[in-house]
Order: sequence, then structure tokens, then C-alpha cells
Amino acid sequence: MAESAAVEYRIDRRSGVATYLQIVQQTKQALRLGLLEPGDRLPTAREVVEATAINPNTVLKAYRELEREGLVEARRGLGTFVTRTLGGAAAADDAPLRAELADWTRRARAAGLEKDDVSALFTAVLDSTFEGDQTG
Amino acid sequence: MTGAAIEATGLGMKYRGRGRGWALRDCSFRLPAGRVCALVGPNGAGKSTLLALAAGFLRPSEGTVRVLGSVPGQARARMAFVAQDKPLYPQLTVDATLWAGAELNPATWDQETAERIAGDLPRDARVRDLSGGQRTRLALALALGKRPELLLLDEPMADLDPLSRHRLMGALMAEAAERSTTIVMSSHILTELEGVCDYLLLVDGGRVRLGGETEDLLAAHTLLTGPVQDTAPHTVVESRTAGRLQTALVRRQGAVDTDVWEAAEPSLEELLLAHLRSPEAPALLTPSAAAGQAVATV
Amino acid sequence: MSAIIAPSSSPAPRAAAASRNRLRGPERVVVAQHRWALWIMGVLPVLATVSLVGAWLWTEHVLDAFAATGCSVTHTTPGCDATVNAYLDRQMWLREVLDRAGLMMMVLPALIGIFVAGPVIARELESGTYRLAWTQSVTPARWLAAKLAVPTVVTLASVSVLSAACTWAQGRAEGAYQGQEWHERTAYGSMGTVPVGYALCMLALGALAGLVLRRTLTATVVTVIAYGTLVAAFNSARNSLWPTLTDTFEQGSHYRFPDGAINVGTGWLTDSGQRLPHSTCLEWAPDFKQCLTEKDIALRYFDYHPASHFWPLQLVETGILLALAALAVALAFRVLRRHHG
Repeated sequence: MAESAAVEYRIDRRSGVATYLQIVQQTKQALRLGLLEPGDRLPTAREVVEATAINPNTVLKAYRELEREGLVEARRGLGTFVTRTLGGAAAADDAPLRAELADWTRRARAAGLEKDDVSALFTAVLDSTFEGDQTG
Repeated sequence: MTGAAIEATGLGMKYRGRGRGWALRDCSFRLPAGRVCALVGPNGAGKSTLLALAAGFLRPSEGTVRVLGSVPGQARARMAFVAQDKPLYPQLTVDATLWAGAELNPATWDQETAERIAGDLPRDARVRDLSGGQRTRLALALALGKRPELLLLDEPMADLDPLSRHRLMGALMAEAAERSTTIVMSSHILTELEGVCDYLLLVDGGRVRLGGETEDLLAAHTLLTGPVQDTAPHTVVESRTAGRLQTALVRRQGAVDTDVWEAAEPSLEELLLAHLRSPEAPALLTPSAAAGQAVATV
Repeated sequence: MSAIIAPSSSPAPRAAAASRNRLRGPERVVVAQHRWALWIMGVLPVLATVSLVGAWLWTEHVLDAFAATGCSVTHTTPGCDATVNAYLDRQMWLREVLDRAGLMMMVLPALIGIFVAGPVIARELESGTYRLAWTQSVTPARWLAAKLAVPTVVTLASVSVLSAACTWAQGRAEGAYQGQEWHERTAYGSMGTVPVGYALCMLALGALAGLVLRRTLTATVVTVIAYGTLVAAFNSARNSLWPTLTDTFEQGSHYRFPDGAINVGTGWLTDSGQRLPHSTCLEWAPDFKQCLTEKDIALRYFDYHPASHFWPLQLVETGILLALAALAVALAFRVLRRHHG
């Protein structure tokens, strides 16, 4: 009956990112990568805090945030379940966007850029593109 | 969830003999039920005295403290307390200690919880032969086996290695998640509590300096960096200057002039250290932490 | 069928078991804490009783054998020297055994007091383990009650058996030889109800000392001093615990002091009924007769407790000890409430 949950959270206390945000972000990441699918159960607050030694209210706050964004829903007495996925096809290996990015990355490397340079460039473009869009 | 786990009004404790004076004076605060509260402060600040009063071991010299809605003595069956020195009967074995827990708490004892916390402690070993960390684990097993509504822990993790500390803290949080247990943990090691506690009581010099939800307390303060000039109308907690640069931790009164100041939310550690370094800074209790009529400044 | 019956019948015994635990939990924990000491307190009377009965049976055997030889202690019969000596040695030995037993009975209350003052109470307060019990569902008063109840039950059982054994042995010995008189210290203190009185009183005083002083060493030392004071006080006051009998007789007439009585005091009675100390006129002084006439002395008197006063004296002393014990217990609970709410 107690089917194990599909994700496990890693909390980095030194990251400066609020703990509940780390849970939100890691859940979204798992949704994007297809590790979590609709119908999957998120770990209970008890399971999360037992493994991470963080305050249970933090987990509940993160789950409320995910619920507010319509990604999960709480079913009383059963747990919190994924209702939809994020980014959908973008995550799949053969998606055109991914192929284009892979192609671009290869060209950047051929042009003599180091891994860190590519990463910095990508982040800079990413930031300017999504500037002022949203937080968290 | 709306009730108070602990409510102190004008609480004071004076120890007799050798001019030891007041360990705690004029303490008024409220801890709502269901919180995980950090009781922080330097050594000798009165943390242990406050916990001993709440546990009903001491009779206050003045004022009152109510626990779970009654005097501490009557709430005994519903609360657990683990003192700093982890008192256990040295001549009993681990198993016998858990058995004693069952005998002394017939109404609430949960052997399974106790066994889970006790983990791989050698069951036939006598308490006197256990290491400090093992004793801590056993003391916590006894406290959690009782399934308390309120759990008071005085420096609980001091002699644990990082792995055991993480595991026990996880077990504590799981208990809090499952049963909405109110937990009060005293410590002078701040990193032990960050991320764990959602409520804060800063005790210093026998008084409560800060009390309330950690988030609210952090949000009420701002770390200002800018030119050396008056920070009015904000209340300064601590201000330091280096050359032409001033860094001040203030309690905001209205909006911060961002043309002059660079503003940032302080970390928990910055907030606590600033208050400890500035004993004259006024106390701050958020509305949920203010006891009865004795509402302190905001 | 049993499956249908089981659910309805099982909760009742479980509830009964739970309430039984609630009554006995703290006591059971106290027993677990002091298993060894309580075990010794339980085994001691058994060992002592067996040794006393054994000593008596062996002596009786020797007495019978002596009677069969036809020798007598009072008359010198040729060829009996060795037999008589052996017989007297045996009597001395029995007397020594009873003395030792009496001494042990005198020490026992002090040991019980030390046990309660030190390991049972002060050590818990000193080392802080009392907080273990008090943070369970046990009030300080309930804790103290358990700490008193367990030693009380064991003491009551153990000391009663011991004093019964001593009373029996003394009684048997009395008929057989010139043993201890009932009023000799070790005999009186090991027989009847007094041993139980002292044991319970010391138990209570020990508990009070432990609770007030909160230090194992100090509490045990104070308890021992308290016992010494108590014994000394009763030794000097014992004779006045029950009205004495008085015999009077004319100087020079034949008077026989009652067998087995304790002489409490003696002196002269004047014509007017006034009592004068014996030293007023001494028999061997040259002016003795003249002294009697001058002082109008008519009679000599003796105050004494006859052997029949054994029980009244014992019961009064026991009563005072038990009242002291009750007072100490009440004080102990009060001290506890004062300090710890």
C-alpha cells in the first residue's frame, strides 16, 4: 500500500535559496525531466522531513505553492498527487528544440569555448530573455 | 492549533544563595501550539531556567507560566522534557529504561516509536556504559515514546555526531509532521536550528528579546548598506561604520529609501548576532507571540 | 464462535491491565532501580531465621545430652568437669549468637535509614535523575509515595520476621539458661514491635533528610546522627514511658526485689511521704540510725518495671516512633510541594 514516492528532495542549507523554494524547484525539475508524471504521489511531509530534517511546515508551504500553480493536488488522507506535467515534449530526447540546442553547443565548442564559457553565455541570454517575467 | 502551548506572564525566577540573583525576569510571551520553536541565547541567558519552569521542576519566584492551558504540574502527562544532561537511571539497561517509560506512562506510551528512535542501541547495555550520543538517543526515545503534545528539549543535539544529529532531527520533525507536536529546542548553535524551526524565542540576560514566527521576524528587519547618515525613522538594532560606509540592521518603520540605501533581508544568524551584540535594542514580539495584555513593542 | 466472542471480551482485560499498571508503575520502577538492595533486605530475615533456629536446635541437642549425663552445674560431681565445661561453653555460645542478633537488629534501622536517605532519594536529587521520573506521567508526590512505599513494604515484612525470630529465640533461651534479661538493650531492641517502629521511623527520617539535604553523603551522615540521637533519647526516657510500680518496706525487714524487674529508682520515704534520695543516709555510715531518725525516714522505696511491663513499654515506644515517622513523611511531602509545585 505504501508505494514509495517518485522523488527525493535534497536540501542545501547554504545555498541561500529558501528551503521551500528548493522543494518547489526540484519538483518542477522532476516534472520537466519526466521523472514525475500525472498520478504520481509526492512524498508525505513526514517522509520529507524524516529524510531532510527540515520543518514540516516548510514542506507544506512548498506543496501549497505547487498546488496554487495547479501542478499537484492534495487528496485528503491519501497524499499529494501530480496533476499535470511541465514543459511536456521539450524534455524528450528527440525534441527539435533540444536538437537545436545540442547543435548550437557543438558549434560553440568548435569555436573554442570552454564548458564554463558556454554555460555563462547561455545563462546571460536566458536572463535577458526572461527578464522581469516571474520569480520562483 | 490556535491554543497556546506555553504562555508566560511576568515570569521571573530568582535563585537563592551566593548572590546569584535573577536568572529570568519579567518574561511575557506566548508560543502557539504546533510550532517548532528555537529557544536561543548565549550561555547563562536563562534558557534552561525557562524550560525548567515550563516543565514544572521549579516554582517561579514571580509571574506565571501556563503549559497546554494548565499549570505545568497538571500538564505532566501531555508533555516531555529532555534536560541538558539527559538524566537516565545509570543502573538500568536500555531495554529496562524503555520498559520504565511504558510503566510510567501507561496512558500514552508507544513502544514502536520509542524503539524506532532507540534504533540500534545495544539493548542489554547499561545506561552507565553508553556514550554521550547514545544517552541522548535513549533520552529522546523515552521522550518521544510518551507521545507528548509538547516536547521541551534543552540543548538536545550537543553531543551527537553530524549523522546522528541529522537522523534524530529528522525523526523529531517526522513526529512534529505526524502529530503536530509542539517542539521547543534550546541551543546556542544557530546552524543546528536553521531550517528546522519556524518560531523563535531569543532570550538574553534573563529577558525575551525576540519572539515570533521566524519569517515575520526576519521580514521585520532590513540590512541597510549606505553612506554614514541617520537611519531614521527606522529603529536601529545595530549599526557599524567602516570608513564612509555604514552597515545597519534596522527594524523598518515605513518604506526604505532605496535611493540612499541598499536594502537586503538579513539571515537568521545576522539577526540574532546583531541583537546579542546590542543589548539595549528594544524587544520585539510579533502579535502571535505577545502574551495576553502584556504586549510588548512592535 | 471464538472469533465473535474475542473482540467483545478482549478490551476489558486490557483496560484492567492498564489501570493496574497505573497503580503500580512507579513502584515497579523503584523496585527495578534498587533490585539488589531490596533483594538483600528480603533474603536477610530468611537467613537470620534459619540461623537462629539452627543455633537453637543445636543447643537444645547439647542440653538434652547434658541432662542425660546426670551432671549438674551447681554441684561438683567427680568426672563431670569436662562435660560441665562443654555445656557452659555451649550456653555462652548461644548467648553470643543472641547478642549478635540483637546488635544486628539495632544496626538495621540505621541501614534502612541510610538506604532511603542516600541511594533512594538524595542520589536521585543529586544526580538529577528525579527529572526522568517527573517528566513522565508521574507527579513528584506520586514519585515520593512510590519511593516510600516500596522500602516500607519490604521493611515491614523483613523486620517483622526478624523481630519475631528474635523474640522466639529469646523466649526459648530464657527457660533453658540464664540468658539476657528482657530489658537489656540488645534484647529489648530486637524483640516485640520496637524494631519495626525504629525501622519505619528511620525510613521516614532518612527520606526527609534526603529530600531536604539533596546530597547523598550529607543525608546519610545526618541520618546516622539522627538515629544515634533517637536511640540515646529513648534509652534515657524509656523508663518513664509507662508508670512504674513501687514497693516500700521498713529498713531492716526482709525485702525481695521482684524477679525480672528493672530497678528504676530507690530512696527513702519520710513520715510525711516525702521522697529523699538514697544517698541522704547511707547504710555503712556510722551515724546511719541517727540519720534515719533525724530525717523522719520511715520506709525505703523501690520504683521498678516488672517483666509484665514489657508490652506496654514496647507499644508506647513504638507508638511514639510511628508518630515521628508520620510527621517526617508529612514534612517530606510538604518540602517537595514547596520547592517543586
